[in-house]
Amino acid sequence: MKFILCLFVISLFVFPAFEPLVAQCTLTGKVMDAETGQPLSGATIKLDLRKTGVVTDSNGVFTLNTACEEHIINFRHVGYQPYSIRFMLYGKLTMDIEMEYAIDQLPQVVVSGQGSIRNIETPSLGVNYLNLKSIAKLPVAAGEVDILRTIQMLPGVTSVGEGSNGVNIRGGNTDQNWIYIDNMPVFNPTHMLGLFSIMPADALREIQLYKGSIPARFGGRTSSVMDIKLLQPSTSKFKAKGGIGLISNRLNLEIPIVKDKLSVLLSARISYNEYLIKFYNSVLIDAQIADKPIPNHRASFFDLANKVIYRPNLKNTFTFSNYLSNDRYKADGLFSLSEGLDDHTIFKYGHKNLALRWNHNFNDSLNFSLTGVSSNYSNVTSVEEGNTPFDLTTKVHYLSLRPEVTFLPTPRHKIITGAKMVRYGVSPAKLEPQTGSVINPFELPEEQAYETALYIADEFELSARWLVEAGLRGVFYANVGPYEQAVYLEGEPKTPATISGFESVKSGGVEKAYFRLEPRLAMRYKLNGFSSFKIGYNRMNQFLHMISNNTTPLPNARWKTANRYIPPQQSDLLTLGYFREKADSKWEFSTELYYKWQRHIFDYITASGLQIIPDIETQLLNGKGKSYGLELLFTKKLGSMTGWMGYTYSRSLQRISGDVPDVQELNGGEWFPTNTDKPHSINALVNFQLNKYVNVSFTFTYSTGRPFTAPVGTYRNEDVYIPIYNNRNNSRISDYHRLDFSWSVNPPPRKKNWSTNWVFNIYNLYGRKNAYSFFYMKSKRGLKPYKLSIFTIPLVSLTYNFKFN
Amino acid sequence: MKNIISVLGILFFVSLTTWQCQYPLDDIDQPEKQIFLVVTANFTNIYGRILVEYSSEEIEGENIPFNNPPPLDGTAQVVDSQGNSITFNINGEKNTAFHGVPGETYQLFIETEGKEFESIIETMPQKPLLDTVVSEFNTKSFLLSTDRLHHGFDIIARFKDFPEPGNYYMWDWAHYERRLFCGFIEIGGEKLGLPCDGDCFNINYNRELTLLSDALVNGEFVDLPILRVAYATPPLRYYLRITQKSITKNAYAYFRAVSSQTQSNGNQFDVPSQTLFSTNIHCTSHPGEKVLGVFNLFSSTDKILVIDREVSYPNAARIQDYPEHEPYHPDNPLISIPSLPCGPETRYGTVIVPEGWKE
Repeated sequence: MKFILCLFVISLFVFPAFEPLVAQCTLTGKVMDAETGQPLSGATIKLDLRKTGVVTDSNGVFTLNTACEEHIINFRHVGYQPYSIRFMLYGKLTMDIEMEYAIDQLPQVVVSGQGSIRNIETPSLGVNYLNLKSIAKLPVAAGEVDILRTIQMLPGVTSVGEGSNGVNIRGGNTDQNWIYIDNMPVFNPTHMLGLFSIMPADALREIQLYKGSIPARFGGRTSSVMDIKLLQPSTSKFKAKGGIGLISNRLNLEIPIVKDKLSVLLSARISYNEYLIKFYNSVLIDAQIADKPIPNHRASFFDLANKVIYRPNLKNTFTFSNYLSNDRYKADGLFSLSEGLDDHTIFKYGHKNLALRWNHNFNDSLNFSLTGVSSNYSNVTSVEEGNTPFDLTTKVHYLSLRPEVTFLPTPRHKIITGAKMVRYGVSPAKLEPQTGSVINPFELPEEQAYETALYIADEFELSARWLVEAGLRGVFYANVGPYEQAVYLEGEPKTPATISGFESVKSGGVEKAYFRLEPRLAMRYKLNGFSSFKIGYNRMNQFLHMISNNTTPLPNARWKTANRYIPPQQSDLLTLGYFREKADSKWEFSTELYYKWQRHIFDYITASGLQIIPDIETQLLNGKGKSYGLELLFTKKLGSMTGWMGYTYSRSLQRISGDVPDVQELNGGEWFPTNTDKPHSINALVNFQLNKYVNVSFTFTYSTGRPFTAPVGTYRNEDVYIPIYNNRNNSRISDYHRLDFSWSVNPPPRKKNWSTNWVFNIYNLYGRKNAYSFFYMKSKRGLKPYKLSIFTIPLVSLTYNFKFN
Repeated sequence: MKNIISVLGILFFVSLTTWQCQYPLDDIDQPEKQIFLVVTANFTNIYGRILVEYSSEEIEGENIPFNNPPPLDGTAQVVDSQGNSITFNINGEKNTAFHGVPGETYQLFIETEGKEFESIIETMPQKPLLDTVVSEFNTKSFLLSTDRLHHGFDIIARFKDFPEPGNYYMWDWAHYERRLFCGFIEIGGEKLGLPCDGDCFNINYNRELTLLSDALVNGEFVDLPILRVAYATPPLRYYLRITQKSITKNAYAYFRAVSSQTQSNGNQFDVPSQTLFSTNIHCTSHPGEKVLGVFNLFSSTDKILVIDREVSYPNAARIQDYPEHEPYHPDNPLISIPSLPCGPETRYGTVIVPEGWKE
């Protein structure tokens, strides 16, 4: 901790700058992409060649104070041609600006790609904006543009390894992140058991990742929120784009139905890689080009993202969004029940999500929206074994309704208030025998819970230097019946043997209720026109938990609503930040120092069985966690060579004591590293725009190996030699590093409305066999350590993209 | 352009060959070393046997697995519900004076190294209803055609679970094979095998655990694959003795944990490696001391299976195995070939012709 404090303090001295501030005036407007009509968030607006300015919000809207006289206004956004205009301001003026995409000078700043002034101006900390157009040109694995893989280039974002099912933000677990696609939450963010993320990049408009300052309108997760918006289909022009890749094919259509009133987005991505495996296993093996078959795997997936926008008038907008995904993955030996039936497994899983939104604009300072969401995630795990084949179904159903009001009493004062009602329905396990199976059917009862939150966020300027965003979220949570809750003997560990009885909760009755207040605060102190200092604090609670003891969760991981024995997880995050840009906006530097406390986290008892056990609390051990770190980011945003480099020092630790520490505590009750603890990481990206048509990118990533549990000895039981494990996470796997390469070619369009693009990728350019895990297997002389590596040689791919406007 | 795509396609396919691989590690340090007391206590309807020893602090090397620390001095007692007790050495020798009775309760007491241990009271389960054991020839298409188990026999145990819930099973197998040589003679630097004097058999045992709880199959007939035998000769007849054990809930929990530790295949969804210390034995003299092993009280049923690997199957070539050493053939036919005795009776070798043996 001392180390990172020193680094943070040093960074403040290395990049100091103080100069007088400039006064500001008022103006309102909206900034959009000229080609797509999509609102551009993070565009910077400066008046009269001043160094200070404002930035657009997530709807592309800006408000600026200025004197009523003639001005020169300048608009900038990363990846777009700057735009300036001289105008005379009389009274109230609304100004809508369409910015041209600047492909020949596109800065490949992808993940910190919002205008740097935004970092300096806003009070937010740990908020990242992802530029979708730039992401498409980054090196990728197997030709698939992958949002989750890309955000791992950000400071503070890691995973347990390639192919992991989700990301870890600032030391948190994968289930501690909300991922919303147009307000619809997703419960499994990947296809093919973690190889590719589910977000169809063609259909996305923007991504904002909140890992520090989380606005009061979000709650229910203790680590982060990833807010993904689908494209708003053009209401005036038909547009089509798509691509052909080795893993999947994509098609994206924007169809105006009624000009300026009704339009539809249809986006589909379908994988067809089963033929690759068949081809590989038959042709290449037989031809002895390859010597090892892909064992009994079958994999396919699709996703559909659709959106309908109806604007009957300027005041009202109705939006219908839906997202469907489906995976089918067959593999051996990935899953077993503790009852001893396992082996050939087929996972069939996906989302069926939809959202309806009504937005009513009363006037320029008052807006109302109402959003209803239904999100269904289900997984069917089929096991085909002897005369015991079965299907195991798990489901999560999320329903929510959110009214929200945005009020701007003055241009320097913005209030957002609203409510959110959520119903969680969880079917933990339904086991059904297949035809001819001798399996007995079994079902765990559905769990239901309600979460109601009221929130208010107030952003106001105290002075020219101080900007404050204060928020408060009050949450009432109730776990409701019908419910049979085990009751345990006082002072005893919760085990099946210490169940003293069962308490019956009738339908609609409250088994356990919690009320939680979540203060949020972010403050900016502007040192001068190009640097600022910020401080932020968040409290978050999580009422729905994923129960999974795998290194990375399987699609059939169980979800659990909080109850009397599994209280809501809670985190407190304190962040300090310093942001600075060079006067010519070419360079940007930021540093963030954070400390996070976590309560009511849990780990698992040894040899836990989680899938179909009724009283799941008997398998869990309570504890607390802490994580802290320092994140540094340098960005070069303009010029023919652009890029960025980030360094993160971070720790993630936990102390697991259980209910009866003398019996249950892990690692002697001491703090020990979590699976996501990777102290050092470096991520770098460099992009060369060779000419108007050719772009070359390299990305490099390095991180300390994550912890794993190594044996402390062996013993035998008859002829079985068994490793002995004692303290958890007592060693580390080897460090990870990888270099990727991407070459993107945009040939000059031959037809007016038709353009194409080729992207050639080499993932893991120098073919490092990075370890995903270390494990031990029997050998002639005891136990031999092995490492599992994924993507072990350079992975070459080529993707063809097209666009029709 | 077509050529470029073809080359890229091939590169991609080749990339897939190693998209997920396991590599042995030679330079990994063992972060800490610890030893624990290990109790292997098997008590059945026909014998009792208890071995108490220390675990090894090594995980790999010359001393593993055959030279574990020697058994400890001490005694053990098993006491039934009537207070009758039988005393055992703790050196691993079978004591046939013990005949467990299904339904009877037993408790184990151990004294060694100045410490006292006791088990919880366990009830001996009923003898399992193993109906038949069959072999089914098939081809595993997902295995490479050169893999030994590509063509082979699945050995399936068919049994009926007891009607009442809460039964737990475990299967062991022993494979008997006539020993080819009982000694060697070195001629011209070449090692040549000498025959055995009479019957002599090698015995191999399972080194993985097959377990089942009846929670999902209560009262049903269950077919459960136990192992897979390659379609290979010699020998033409593959002899197996399959043992089905009814074990206690605590033993099941213990062996289930052992199974997950030892049968990790290293995939990205592995559960973390953790050792479950004994589920039913604890140290009474030093309460904080962790002990490994389990008081395994079980009753068992055996079945003999002899697989005839001489039978031909369409589209399946039998693998021909060759002995590691050539047998000794003297140049002069008048010189008799010396034969050697089988050696001491051990767990891994015997002169006793196994029940149901077929050449």
